[in-house]
Amino acid sequence: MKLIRFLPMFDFGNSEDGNGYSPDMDILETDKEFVIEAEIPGASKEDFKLNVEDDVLTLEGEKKKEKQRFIFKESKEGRFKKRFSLPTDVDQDKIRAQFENGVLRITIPKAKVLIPKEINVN
Amino acid sequence: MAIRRWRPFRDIMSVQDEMNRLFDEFFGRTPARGEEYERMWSPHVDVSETEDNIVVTAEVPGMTKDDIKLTVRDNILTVSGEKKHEKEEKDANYHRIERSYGSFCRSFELPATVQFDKVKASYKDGILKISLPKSEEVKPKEIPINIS
Repeated sequence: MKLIRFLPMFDFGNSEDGNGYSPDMDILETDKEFVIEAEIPGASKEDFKLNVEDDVLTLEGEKKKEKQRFIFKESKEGRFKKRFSLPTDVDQDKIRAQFENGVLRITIPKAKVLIPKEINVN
Repeated sequence: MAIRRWRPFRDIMSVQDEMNRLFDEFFGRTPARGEEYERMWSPHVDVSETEDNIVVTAEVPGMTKDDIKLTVRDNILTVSGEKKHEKEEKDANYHRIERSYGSFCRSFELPATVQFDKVKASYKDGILKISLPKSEEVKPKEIPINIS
């Protein structure tokens, strides 16, 4: 038997036309939003394309490296494509992304309905 | 049943071993040969060479330059630091964690042909770049030869 990680909100597609490179990602959820953080060191924000179609968020990009004479090399680069199926109750028009210190952070706000409310009992 | 010597502490010792193993696994330390423990995280490092420099680049995304420490002692270059989880996300619910966090420390032995006092480092877009200038003697020189 295999132990499979429980991912209730996100159903992950694997990197498709990639050549083995796939950025490390964290996905977290707070009361108000979902956040995807991808580590793509050395890239610039022009290297990514992000779009939403039919409730699927697609992140495409490329990590490049200039030609050098390597003595040794551990880093990887290449094209990658990641797809995330969005939960139904998110506000797709308000998805934001920012790139800082090699980390791309995509924020997906939840629609109002999902934000838990506390109700006082009198 | 076989008769065995009574060793009252044997069970306790094996429980202790088991606990140590559990802790090591949980914190991501894998005991290496001997008694050294390896750190949990190790950034990807490339070393390349240009005519004037040896260039070491380390991928440390999500850190700021204050989180990184760089030292040269004798001829050992050491890069260390800690990648911290951001505070605001402490109460968040994680669906997936692939990024590595924690302390790291990597050392490299430098060839004697590097000018240690002129080492430069910069940090941009998650990449730490350390330039180690080669000393004059080992730089390739062009010697023009006059053909007469």
